[in-house]
Amino acid sequence: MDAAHDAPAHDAPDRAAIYRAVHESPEFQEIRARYRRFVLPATAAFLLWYLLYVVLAVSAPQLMARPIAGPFNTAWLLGLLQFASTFLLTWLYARHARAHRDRAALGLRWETQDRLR
Amino acid sequence: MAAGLFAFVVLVTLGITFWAGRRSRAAEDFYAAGRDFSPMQNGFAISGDYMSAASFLGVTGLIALYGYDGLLYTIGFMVAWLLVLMLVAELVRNCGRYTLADVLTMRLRERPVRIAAGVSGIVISLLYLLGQMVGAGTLVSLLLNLHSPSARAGSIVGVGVLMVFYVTVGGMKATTWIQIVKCVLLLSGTVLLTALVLLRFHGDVGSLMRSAAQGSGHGNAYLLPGLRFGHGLTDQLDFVSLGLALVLGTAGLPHILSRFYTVPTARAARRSVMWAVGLVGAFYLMTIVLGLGAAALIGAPAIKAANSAGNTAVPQLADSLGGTVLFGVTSAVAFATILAVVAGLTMASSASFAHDLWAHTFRRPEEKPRTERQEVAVARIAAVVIGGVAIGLSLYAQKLNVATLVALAFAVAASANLPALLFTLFWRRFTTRGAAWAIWGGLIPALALVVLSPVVSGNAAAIFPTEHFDWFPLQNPGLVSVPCGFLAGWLGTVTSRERAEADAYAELEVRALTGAGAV
Repeated sequence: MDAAHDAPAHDAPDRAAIYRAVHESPEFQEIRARYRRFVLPATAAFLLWYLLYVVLAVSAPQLMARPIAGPFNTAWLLGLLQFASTFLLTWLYARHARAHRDRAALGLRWETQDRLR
Repeated sequence: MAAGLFAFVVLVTLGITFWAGRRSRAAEDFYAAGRDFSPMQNGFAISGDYMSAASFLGVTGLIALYGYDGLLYTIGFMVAWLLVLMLVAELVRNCGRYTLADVLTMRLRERPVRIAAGVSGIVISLLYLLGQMVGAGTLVSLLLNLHSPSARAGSIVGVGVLMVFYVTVGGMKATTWIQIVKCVLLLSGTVLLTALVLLRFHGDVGSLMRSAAQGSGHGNAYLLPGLRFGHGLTDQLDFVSLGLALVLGTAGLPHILSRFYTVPTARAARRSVMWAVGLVGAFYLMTIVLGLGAAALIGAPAIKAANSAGNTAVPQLADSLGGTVLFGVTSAVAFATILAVVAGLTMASSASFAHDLWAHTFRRPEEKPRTERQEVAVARIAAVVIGGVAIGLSLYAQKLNVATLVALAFAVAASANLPALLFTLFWRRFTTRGAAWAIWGGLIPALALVVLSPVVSGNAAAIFPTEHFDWFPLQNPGLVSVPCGFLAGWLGTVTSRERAEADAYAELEVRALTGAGAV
């Protein structure tokens, strides 16, 4: 159940205080910092790289037509690189989350839930 | 042959529906399939939801006819998953229950936000549904060789009745299993066809590309951008607009967001997206081979003769590679694809109606809260009504291009849902007014620009070819409406008199990133 709507009124301040305390704890700040330090630059990078590709595709016909091997040209190379970078970033993100976030987040989850009980 | 296989697909999906419907009673079962799917199962289901007929038939056809410009669609559809993976999937899983509005109302006031999010959820699903059902009509009549308008209308009604049945009887559990089965079928069919195409060219991709360029009749231009979208300024802007809508839309699609609630934890949600990235990526890479193969082996004139938008390129390719048997199998796979996707969309829109609008906002404060039983009953009725509306609208919109309709749904999702969702998750000062403005401020411009676009009037391919109110030059509104949504959300927030509740945001952040208190 969604506790926000079902919690009885009398323990509401209690609950807010617990979440506030957890929010301010160094453990949580560390988890959040690790999450943001990875996803914000990564998101900016892949969006820019994608937009760059889209804009190049419509505005730089000479560059796109440069042959690389047989019928394979820059346009196809850039397109396939978009696929490759998507696979790569997915793998990097998962590895980062597993190595730097999952364990700490799970620990804090049980701790928070214990305090809420 | 094809008809028999179609009947088989219908029987299997009905069997799944009855089996799943036997034990789905509570709201949690109906909306979220009891949350006990594994990441792999959910990854297949997400891919099943995502790889629609617009991809299998439409995009492959576009690649066959326009070469490189068709490829651009697959890249947008693919890269979009990074946004879902990194910013949305886990956090949404941790904060919500059944719908997008559940996440927003964790820190914002219930009523205005639920109304806006519920309406936008229904609108987006309906637009998407329209694309799929228009495709279904064309496909079924072409594949079963029934060419009269009434046969086409009949097949739209048939698909509509089936999808309503899956959802009302089987709920999310049946919908998810149908997606999984469909995804396996679709991928197997695609792998088989890809292997046959590559064998035909002795594994030489270069010679495949050369033959495709030759078969398309465009020569070298086929392997470069610009065949479909052209080189004028409007064409270029339209293309950027489409690219933006594709990459930002996925993270706002209600039927994709609700998939994350069918797994038990945020970690499982992440792993299901990873499965989806792998499956969807492999699928789109194979559609490139299929599109090139169709151009090389069948040739653009023959593809255009069968269907001017190229929607039948894949079945034609199957026919030329493996005769009637492979043609029948491929058609049945395409049919299963359509049935599964429309079921997922009907499911999402009935949840938007029952959970967001009926249960939480169509109620005066003094009335007692609605029970889960009532809510599920309303969701089932809503599925019937929405199915009926979708059937009616599809009969009216039969002339529209399938891929265009789906791209419009993506644009509306990117404009209305994504700004509100991202601001809620990442902006401390975001307020209720900001959320309501973000949703309406994205939804209304997006819809208005679609109405004023060349899709609706002013040319032979439009819904009203003889009227002229096509004042907005672009086919896709994303380039204007997505910034509108973000801007409206910002403006609503900075002009709010109420301050954002710091405690509510602290709770949301803790829950989003740790999973504390997640259902």
